[in-house]
Amino acid sequence: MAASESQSLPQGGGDVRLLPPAPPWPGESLMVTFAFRCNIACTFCMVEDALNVLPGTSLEAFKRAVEDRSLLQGVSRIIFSGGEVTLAKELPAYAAFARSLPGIRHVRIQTNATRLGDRRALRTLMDAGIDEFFVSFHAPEAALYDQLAQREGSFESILAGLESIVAEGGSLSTNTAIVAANHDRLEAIVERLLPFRPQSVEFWNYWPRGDEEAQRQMSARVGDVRPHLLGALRLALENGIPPVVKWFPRCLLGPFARYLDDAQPKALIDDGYWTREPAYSCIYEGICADAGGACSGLSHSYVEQHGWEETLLSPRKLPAGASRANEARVETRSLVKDAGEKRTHAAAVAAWLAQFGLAPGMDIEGFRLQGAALGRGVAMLALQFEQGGERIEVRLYPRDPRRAVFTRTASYDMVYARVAPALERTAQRLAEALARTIAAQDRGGRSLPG
Amino acid sequence: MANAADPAPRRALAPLETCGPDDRFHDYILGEYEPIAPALGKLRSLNLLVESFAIAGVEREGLALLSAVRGGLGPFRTIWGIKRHHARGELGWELYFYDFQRAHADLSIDSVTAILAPHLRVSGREPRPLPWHMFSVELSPAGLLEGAPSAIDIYIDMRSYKCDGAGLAFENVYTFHDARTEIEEVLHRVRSCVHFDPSRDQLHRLMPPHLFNCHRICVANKRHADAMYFSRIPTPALARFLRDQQWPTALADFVRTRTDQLGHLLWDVGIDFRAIEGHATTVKSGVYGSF
Ligand code: SF4
Repeated sequence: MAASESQSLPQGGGDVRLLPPAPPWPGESLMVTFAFRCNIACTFCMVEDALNVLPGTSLEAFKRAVEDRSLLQGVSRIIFSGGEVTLAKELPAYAAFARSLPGIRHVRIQTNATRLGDRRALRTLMDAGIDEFFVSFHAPEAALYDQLAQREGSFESILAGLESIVAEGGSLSTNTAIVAANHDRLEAIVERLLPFRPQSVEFWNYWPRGDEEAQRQMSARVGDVRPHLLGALRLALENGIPPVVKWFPRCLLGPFARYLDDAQPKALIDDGYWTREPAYSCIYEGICADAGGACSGLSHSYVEQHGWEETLLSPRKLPAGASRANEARVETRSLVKDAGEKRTHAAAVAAWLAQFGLAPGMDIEGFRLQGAALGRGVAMLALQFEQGGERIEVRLYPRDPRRAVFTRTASYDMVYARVAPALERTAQRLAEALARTIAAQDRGGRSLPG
Repeated sequence: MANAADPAPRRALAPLETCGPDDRFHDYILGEYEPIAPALGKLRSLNLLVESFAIAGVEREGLALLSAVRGGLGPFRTIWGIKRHHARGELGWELYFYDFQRAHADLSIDSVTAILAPHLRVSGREPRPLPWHMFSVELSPAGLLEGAPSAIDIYIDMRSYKCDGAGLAFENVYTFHDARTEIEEVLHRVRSCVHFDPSRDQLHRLMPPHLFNCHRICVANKRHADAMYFSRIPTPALARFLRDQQWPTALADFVRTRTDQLGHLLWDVGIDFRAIEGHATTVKSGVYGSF
């Protein structure tokens, strides 16, 4: 880290020196998921419904997937996650294969570390190529940890795991889920981790996958979390450890907002996993400059439990006239689709257009490409064209042979939105021309942005 | 409770109506929208209205009325609303007739009253030509079955008036806001409702996330309640709304088990709330579609 990048906090952070954020690992990583089983039972588990249900990515499927080298483009790290992947005896084989892939410099596991106190087992994993350990660490002492993990003795095994990782020279970073039960122990958690010198400490505000209606009552109120989270971040920074925060309102982080990063790596995971992905909104998302790309707001599950927090949140107002049109809003966020560098949805759309040689402002059939909007609650991209006050919208959907459409490319179904009868033929010509442009680059397997 | 995989059995005897290539889709202020998924062969929103008629025991009468309106005005010009009165648990209905520009000679209070006459006795009439952009006719089981008179409501600018006989009584005030860019206006309007106490009531109870994710929010002040309306919500949000507002299970299941067949549609919903024992309490809820 360049010393010049550090800066002092004028207020709110006191005299702590702000470190640059940790390198954004999700963007350079591919996550491979398997071993959907676990030896503890965290009350806030985000894959609870997948445990012992999802088959996971077999080694063969992993090998087949990376035959498409575009999947590895920009990827220097393979992450294995489940479930608890250390329970899988095939883990060394996965790791060895990951190591053999071009451009892979790191192989990471996301683990509860309970089995890593066994030095021989750990050595086997490291010999197979695993060099990074992303360890869940949710409480500073045994009573709370074992209560959260619902297994007596969890805490002691995790500490033993942490000690082994450090002793064997593994690279350690940690992840703490912020929930009602531990929200006021965040500083103590950092304190407890300091002797292990983690590369970074991450705080993930409860991600309520599968808990859409807040039945678990797991979220802590963000206003209650805030002082403890800021304290934990400050403590980490004072000790030279860059923190990461996920899924917490940016406007409550003050000078530590730069450490908020909701990005997740792209992942090989069963599609069914995403059907229960939590939705996020902020009541101020139409007027806050940070909404969307820089801040997810609150999960709907949170709102069901605690409300919109409309008096606590403070939007950074967009300049007059720059407010977000309702129609252009993207409702869902996807861990998979957010892969890569943290990008705004606008940037994702621009990158999507660019791959087909399209760009805002360009002309097709005399119409100017004016804008693009992602569907609300539906996988769809609408491309908006304009000429002399006449508007035509061409919509792209993922290809579905059952869909009645105007035309298709290898990856997309295309229709144009209803137009006046006089404009019908023009809309058809425009949609055909757009389809030709996209088809020239589309050999199949492309997705929609966002 | 019916399984989500199997469409729940229907009460209505009439066959389900499906979308044709010329179907048009409107929200509750007759704003046209594009269906959010291919619509051809999928269910029309009207099926929900017919199902509600059947549940209330007035399917035959309701269908006769709908067919008269369609025959008289043509398709896709009329908005329907189903209301649930929470205290009595009773269903009621309303039909809304829009003519923003007052450009349609066939759409007048007199002409619609005449179209409805064989099926419904409309008691209100316009005392003199008024600059309305919409009027509505309320339907009740008693109106459909026993010929009880139905009043009309006339909407002028952002206000509505009850019109009974030739008398006009001021009823409601409405303001419409973009759900996102005008959220501060929405908050201001809600906080100033006499039936909402910001120190005791929680906004998300009136506006949960699945309703906030809508197109426009309307806040209304009525004589005996305040109200919020949410336009263009998708079908899963409607299913949740019907469950939350304790609509008849048969009707809620009709939607919940047909989200695929209804997935191209957007719906409008509203709640009337009143301060009861110090808390904003829903006293009426409504669902809207077009035919
Ligand atoms: S107002 Fe909402 S969108 Fe803006 S920073 Fe705060 S939580 Fe995020």
